[in-house]
This record gives sequence, structure tokens and C-alpha cells, in this order.
Amino acid sequence: MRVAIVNRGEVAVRIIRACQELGYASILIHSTPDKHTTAYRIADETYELEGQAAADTYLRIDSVVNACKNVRADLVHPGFGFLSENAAFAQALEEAGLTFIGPSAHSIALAGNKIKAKELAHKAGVPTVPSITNLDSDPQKQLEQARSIGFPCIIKAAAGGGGKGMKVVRKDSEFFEQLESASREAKAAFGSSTVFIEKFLETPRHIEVQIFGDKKGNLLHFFERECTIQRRHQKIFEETPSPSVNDSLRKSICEAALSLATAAHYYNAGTVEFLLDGDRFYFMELNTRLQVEHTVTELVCGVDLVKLQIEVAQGHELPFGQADIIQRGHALEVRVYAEDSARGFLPSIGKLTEVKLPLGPQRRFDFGFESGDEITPFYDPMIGKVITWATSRRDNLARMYATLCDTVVFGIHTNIEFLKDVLINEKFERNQVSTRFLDQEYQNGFTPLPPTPEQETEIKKALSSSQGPEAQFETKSSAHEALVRSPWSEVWRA
Amino acid sequence: MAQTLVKKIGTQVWIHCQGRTFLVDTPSARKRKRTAHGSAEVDGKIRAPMPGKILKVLVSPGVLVKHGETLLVMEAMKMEYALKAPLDGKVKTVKATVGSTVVLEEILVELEAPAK
Repeated sequence: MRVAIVNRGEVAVRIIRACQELGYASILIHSTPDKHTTAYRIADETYELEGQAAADTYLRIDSVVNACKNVRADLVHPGFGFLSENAAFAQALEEAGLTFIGPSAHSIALAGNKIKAKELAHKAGVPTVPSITNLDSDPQKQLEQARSIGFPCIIKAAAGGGGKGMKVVRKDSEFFEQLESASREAKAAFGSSTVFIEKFLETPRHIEVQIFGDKKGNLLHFFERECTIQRRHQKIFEETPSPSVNDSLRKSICEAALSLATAAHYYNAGTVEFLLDGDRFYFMELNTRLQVEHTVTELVCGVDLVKLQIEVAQGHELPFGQADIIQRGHALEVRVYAEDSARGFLPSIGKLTEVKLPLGPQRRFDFGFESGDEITPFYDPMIGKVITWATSRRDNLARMYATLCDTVVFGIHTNIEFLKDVLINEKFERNQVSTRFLDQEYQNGFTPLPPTPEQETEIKKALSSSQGPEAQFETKSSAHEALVRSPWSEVWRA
Repeated sequence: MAQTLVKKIGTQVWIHCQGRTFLVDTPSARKRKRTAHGSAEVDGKIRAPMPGKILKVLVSPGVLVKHGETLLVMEAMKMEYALKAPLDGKVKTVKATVGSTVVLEEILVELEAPAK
């Protein structure tokens, strides 16, 4: 079997590794700048789409389908983002005689359009958030429609996902500016400027259910994930099991997800996203692709979702039943972004002069870049994910903290220090959070702690010995002080 | 944890010690910056805070702007960022054009204090 991968970064690496385990040939379809990435280096074969911007490369259905035909692919994995939830792409592949690794073009069209998906939820008896899905063309009427829902409301891209093309409107005067901006972002990211308005819940949690179906009509769920910790609607922390869900809620939310999937005649991997408000949950969207945060489900359920995707796409039956799937321990994922958290979270672009991801017990690093690679302004700022597993949430937060302390990225700024700051936040530790937690907690930005006196000494030593144009060296400092002194020692005593 | 990792790139030094990464200017670079580089509040120059593309230019020369007013919208990594006026003032020059790609620190708009 030959599998074409039309994606980049860490997810391309993830898919290539799955192919290699299955003994299938992996062929990376990539843009010009993405020659300098891990996926390019480890793929069995590569095929270049000349160009830089996503719109000229990964988003061009005609050239991508051509590329897949040229490399004689049997199967095509779209990863996430880009064309992964594009029904026309799935359709075009099918017409070209290639197998799309994902659901049917029909399911994608149904679910990928957030408006149709809401109607689907109604039919399946799953509760939804109040919304306006038929925006008038007249601006004055649009404003009236927004008022009828009430402020605050949120404008979302009908074709959207991943936090792009989403704007919260708190008062009348912001409406048009936000509407215009949401439409523009929607157009740039998804190729369609259609948006809809939804009531904005003030302190919801984000809970989602991993579903999986085969082409024979079997549908399973792999329990929930909690992704409440977001910044500007972009998930940053994802964990499972959710600390906000008890057994009876878990049962009903997973069943709701399955009824919706059944109504959509769903197969392959999908995620049903819900907002949880108190003990009530509302359907938000059905994502018809592998999620960034699938990793935590893999660790807790002991399953390889990407391999399963490839198997099921070929018509194979799911090799186990619902009773075989259990949750064990706790998994947490954090997303490492190329951004300067201390300077208003601005994107950080440039060469990764050093990347060190030290191994340790129950640590998983899903990264797409190595030392020497370049982070360009053309694509998403995520450079990788750090995932840890432990028997309890409490142990796992400490494990993630230690893992992030060991993680080194030089050359561009990252959000690692910010992630650590969130990890030691007492409200996060006690799970007193909502999707607005980070925006509230850091409304004046993020200021890293000043270096400790010991760190000052190390910095001075480093500066005085860094002579010459490209000095690089390692020294020994006074042992494990940082760990012993870390705020964890306080938190755990509390 | 116990290992300190140091890498000097140009005039900057990256240091990872005791679980944290620091970026420090070399002493000579720090001195140069202090003398050559005013902040926008002082010199009225709005510089690109990141490389990217200009999506919108909302002001033109001669226009009076208020502190916090959006002057430009730019995009990088698929996200939009609004650049706002750091002071009340008058737009002196607009160097940015819609659709153009700018580099880090490129001057996009120059403001001057309004005539008293």
C-alpha cells in the first residue's frame, strides 16, 4: 500500500510513523519551505508542491489530487487543518480512484458546515446552543439578529474550526468590526467567508468525545477529552479523563456523541465537541478528522488511532468492541507554539538553533522540527506537542512540569514558560476553570518570573564565557535546586 | 536540570539553566540598543512587531489618531493582529501598503505629536 500524506509538521511525522509500522510506503506531499522539516527527512518518498503559502500549496485541491495521482497513492491522509475537512477534496480523490482516509464526503459536508451540523444535532436529539444561522445580507438586520440572541455573542466561521475566524462581540459598537474580521479570517483560513452567530456562554468548559466508525456501520467511542484551557479559542492544554465529568455525565455525553455520529452515518475518526455549562452539555460541532489532541486518548485507552484510521479506510472492521475500551490513568497534552508569550503572544519566526527533547518515563514528544529547521510565517505557529501520562492527574501535572523544564528550544521564542506558569496555577490544579480562564488570568499579558539568584549567576557565567561569534557549550550548575525550589513543593503541601 | 546549555547567535545568547530558557543580549549589543533605539511612545514610529503581511491600513497622512486606535491590521501564521496608536497624535507618514510583506522592526507608520 502507498499512502500519500498531505500535511506538514508533527502530524505528518505521526502519520508517516504509522505507515512505517504497518509496512506501507509513505509519500509526503509538501510545500517548498517544508523541505526543512522532520517529515521530509523521514518519509519514504517526497513530492513537492511549489509555493509557500498554504493557499498555493496544501489548500489547492487540483494540484494536491494531481500529486497524489502522480505518486500512485492508494490512500491519502489529510492530517488536520488544510483539506482535512473539505468535502470537495474527499470527493475529488474518490473520483480519481483514491481512498481518502477519513469519513465520506457526505458526512464531511454535513458536519463540516456548522449550520447543517446543528440541524443534525436537533434531529439526533442532542442539545445545542441558541444561534442565528441565517444571517441577513442587510447590515442593520444583521445587528438586529445579533441583538435578538443578546450580547455577548460569538461569530464563527461556518466552515471553520481551530479558533480561526471566531470573534466575541460584547456590545453593539463592536459588532461590525468583529463581523468583518471574522469573515476575513474565515475566508483566508477556510476559503469561505460565511459566518454564523451563537450565544456566548460565559464560563463553559470544553468537553469532546472521540468517536470512531468502520465502513460496516460499527461505531465506538473512546471516551472524552477536556480542552477547557484555551487562549483566544485555541486549545493549549488537553487532558483525559476530564476532571469535570463524573461517571453518569460521562455516560450520557458519550451516548449523545454516538447518536449524533449514527445520524451522520459516520465512519473513520471523528470528534464531537460539547460545551459543558454546569452539568448541562450542548453540542458545538462535529470534527470530521483526527484531532491534534488525539494523543491523550491514545495513551489512556491504549490505542493507535492513526493506524486504526488507515485500517478502517481500507474497509476493515473495527478489531474490538465498546466493552474492550477502558480508560486507564491520566494523560495531558500541551501545545508548544512559536510565539513570544511575554510580548503579547506575538508569533516568533526564525531558525531553531537548538531543540532538545529529553526522554523520560511516560513522556511523548510529537514534534515536526529539529535543530537547524526554520519556522516560517506561512503556517500555523504550533511546532510540537508534549504529552505525559501518569496514574493520577496530580502526579501527571508534576510530570509535565518536570518535562517542560527539560525541554529546550533556542532560536525562536516559545510558550513553554507560559505553559509552566499555567501548570502551577492553583485554579488549574483544582480545576476551577472555564474556556475563558486564560484570557481572564492573563488579561494584562504574561510576565515571566525574574531569574532566581542562582539563575542570575548562571546567566552571568554564560555571558562572560560566550566569546567568539558562535559559542556553544555546556557547564555544570549547582544541581537540582530548581526542582526542589519549584512552586510545586508548595502546591503539593497544600 | 543540572546542565547549563548556552548558544550564542549573533549578538544574543540563549541560555537554558535550572529548567528555564533565557535570551540575553551580549553586553555590547545592549549598550548599542540603548542609544540607537527609542520606543514608539518616544519617537512615534510604529514598527512591525513580527514579520508578516499587511491586511489593512486604516489611516492616512494628516489624520489625527487617539491612543489605542487601530492603525493597521497585519497577519502572520494565519492570525490577525491589530497595531494600535501608542499615543495621541497626527499621522506623519504611512509606509505600509495593503498586501505587502514586512520584516521584523520595519517602520510602518510614523506619528507626530499634534500641534498644540
